[in-house]
Amino acid sequence: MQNLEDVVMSLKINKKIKIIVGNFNLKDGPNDVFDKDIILLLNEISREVLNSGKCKKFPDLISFGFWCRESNIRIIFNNYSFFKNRMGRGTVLHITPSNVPTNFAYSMVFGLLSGNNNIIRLPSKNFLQVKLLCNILKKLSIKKVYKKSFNRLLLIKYNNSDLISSELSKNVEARIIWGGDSTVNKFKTFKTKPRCIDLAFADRYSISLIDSNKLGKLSSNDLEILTKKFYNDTYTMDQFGCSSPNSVFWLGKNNIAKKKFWFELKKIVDKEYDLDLSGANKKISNLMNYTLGKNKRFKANIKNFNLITLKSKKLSFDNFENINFGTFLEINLNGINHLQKYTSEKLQTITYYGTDFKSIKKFIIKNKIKGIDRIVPIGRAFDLTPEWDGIDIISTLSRTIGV
Amino acid sequence: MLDYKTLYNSDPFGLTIKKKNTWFLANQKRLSLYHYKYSKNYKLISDNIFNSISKVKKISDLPFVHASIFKNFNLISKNSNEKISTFSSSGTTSLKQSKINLDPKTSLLQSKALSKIFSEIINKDKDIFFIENKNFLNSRESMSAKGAAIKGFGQLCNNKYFLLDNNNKIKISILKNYLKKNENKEFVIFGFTSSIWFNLVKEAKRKKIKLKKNKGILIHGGGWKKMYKLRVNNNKFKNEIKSLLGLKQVYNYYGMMEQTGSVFLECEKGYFHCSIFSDIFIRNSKLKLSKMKETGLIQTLSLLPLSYPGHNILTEDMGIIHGIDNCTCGKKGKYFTVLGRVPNAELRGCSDVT
Repeated sequence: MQNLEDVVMSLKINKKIKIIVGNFNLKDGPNDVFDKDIILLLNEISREVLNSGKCKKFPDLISFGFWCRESNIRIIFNNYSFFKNRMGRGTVLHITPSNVPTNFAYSMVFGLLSGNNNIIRLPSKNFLQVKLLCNILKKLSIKKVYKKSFNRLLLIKYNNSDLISSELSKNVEARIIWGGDSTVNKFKTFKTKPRCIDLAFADRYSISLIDSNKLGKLSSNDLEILTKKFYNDTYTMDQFGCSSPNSVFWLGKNNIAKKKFWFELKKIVDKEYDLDLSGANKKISNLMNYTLGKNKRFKANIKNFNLITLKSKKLSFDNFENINFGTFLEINLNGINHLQKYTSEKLQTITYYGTDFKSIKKFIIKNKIKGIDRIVPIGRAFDLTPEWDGIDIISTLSRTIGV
Repeated sequence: MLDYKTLYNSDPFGLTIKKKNTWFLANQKRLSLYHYKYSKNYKLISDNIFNSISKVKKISDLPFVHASIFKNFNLISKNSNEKISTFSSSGTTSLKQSKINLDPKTSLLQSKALSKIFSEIINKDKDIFFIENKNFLNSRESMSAKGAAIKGFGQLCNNKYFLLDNNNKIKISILKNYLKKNENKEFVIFGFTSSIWFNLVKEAKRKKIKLKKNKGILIHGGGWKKMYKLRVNNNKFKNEIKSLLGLKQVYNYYGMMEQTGSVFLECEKGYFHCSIFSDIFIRNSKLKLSKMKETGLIQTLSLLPLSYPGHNILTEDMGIIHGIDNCTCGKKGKYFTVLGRVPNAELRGCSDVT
């Protein structure tokens, strides 16, 4: 069997893949988890990002910059104090989504921290964020101190090709596949080593759970802050991220507080959200196709097109399709246990206000819910942590040596 | 049900907006209520997304449907046992095709409207050429959008000629021989834009045929998506056709299969015009009505569809209204231009790795 290095080299020579950063050397690795050199490199990346004028324009880059600095990596490391005799599995193939510019960077960090070599397929779209980050990586890769670390990193681009994807899949120890059901299913058809581990991130949806009584007690300033956080969780990616809520479930019966919430949100939306004709076309198309597809009665007001809420009593979990671009299903609950019929194993994140992890956990156990893998306060829908979709990525990508 | 008498006895481009609006609102409202009653899909969209039809006071507030639903659902307004034939859009480049349910009554209304709209340009003195084969009118497809057009135009003209042979190959010789015998006669060629380009123009180029200046006019519409791919725009199309075929005039029209018949005819100043059968709105990204001369999504209304709720459609085309009642060509009503398909929305999110 051809080894992975030869596969990559032959693909490169045949110009089927383009190497963006890295100088692949399989002999280096596996390595320790949370390797010192890697943490140093990440801190340097962080410094470069945060000091770059060009990066400043991109909030997602800045978030990543703060996230990968040494002090934060140490905090993550402290969560893994249970690690003993841990090291990487070998080489990880990362298939990153084409639409979330910085996803590849987080995926890369997880792969490095877990002690692996990494082949990362970059998004085919030319995001400026990707380019800026890759330029930083390129710059650092020629520095002698980081040479060893960069032996474990290969960032590539190629046009969608089953041939290349299957060739790359053949020789790796793990694959991390972002991109939803269709991508996951596609990659499952490719042959891998028998022991290859797949971290597959399938299609999910997410919701918000808010206690209106607690909401009613917020000062107007705090309500404004909360709705801004909700806005960031939803509107920044037109609700396309799988962790972005597509609905609001209300606990409590403070209708005035509910109205105030939508009112505050609308103020922010009117000021900041800029939907273009393409988005508007897609939004009304989604809404009408959803209406006919689900054959359900609801009431939506499109006069306020930037913020549409669908109200209905007759929805169930299979109605929770993302309509996107600022469209929310709105449901009043008589207590948290009534949430049960709206959940499925596809439910990923609950962002909450006025309730807590403990109550939601109790609800999960009591109602035997298979979904719900993230329970985070409103505002943290997009925080990519090593625990994602119910999987501890760093633990899974590394192995424990029995002694 | 509708005021068909006014519809077919008026000058299709003669009403000023003030006169037209009241009349059109009343008729369009009646038609909306009709579809509300007989199409469960139109009812669902109206109930869920719009205000009650009977309370509407402005044409623009009537419930519309998005063009994409014709691709995904079988839309039908069934009121009688009239035989319904289902047609799919042909020649579109998108993967999914629109499906239209036509009954003979709607088909007839469409043919009549078409001949009315073109009555200024074509008449019984003229012969007409279709880019179609002569068996077409006997086929099942004769009820389709193309069929309605051919029947409508056929009735208006004197002799009919079909330029495709039984194997659907173009026979330019038919046209050449006709011109030899009828040098100074006015005649008409009708076909879909892409069909004219890919049959007539291509064949003329291949055979290096260039016809002498004549009194022919060409009427064409639809199928621009393929043409844009070839970077052929309206002007280039016009110029090439005129120079190759020696035609006197080329008329473009804007229309869609969902609203066959009530097409928007281009005037000699290069603007599409609403007729008495149709209306148009341009909507911005908040779906509010755009200001005059502002780009937005085109919404088209037609008084003709009875067997399916295609009377009020938000299209995926972008356009601009340039004015009302004051086009220098003399036609009344709204006039506009079409800028092409709205680009696909850039989807953000993680469920796509292409």
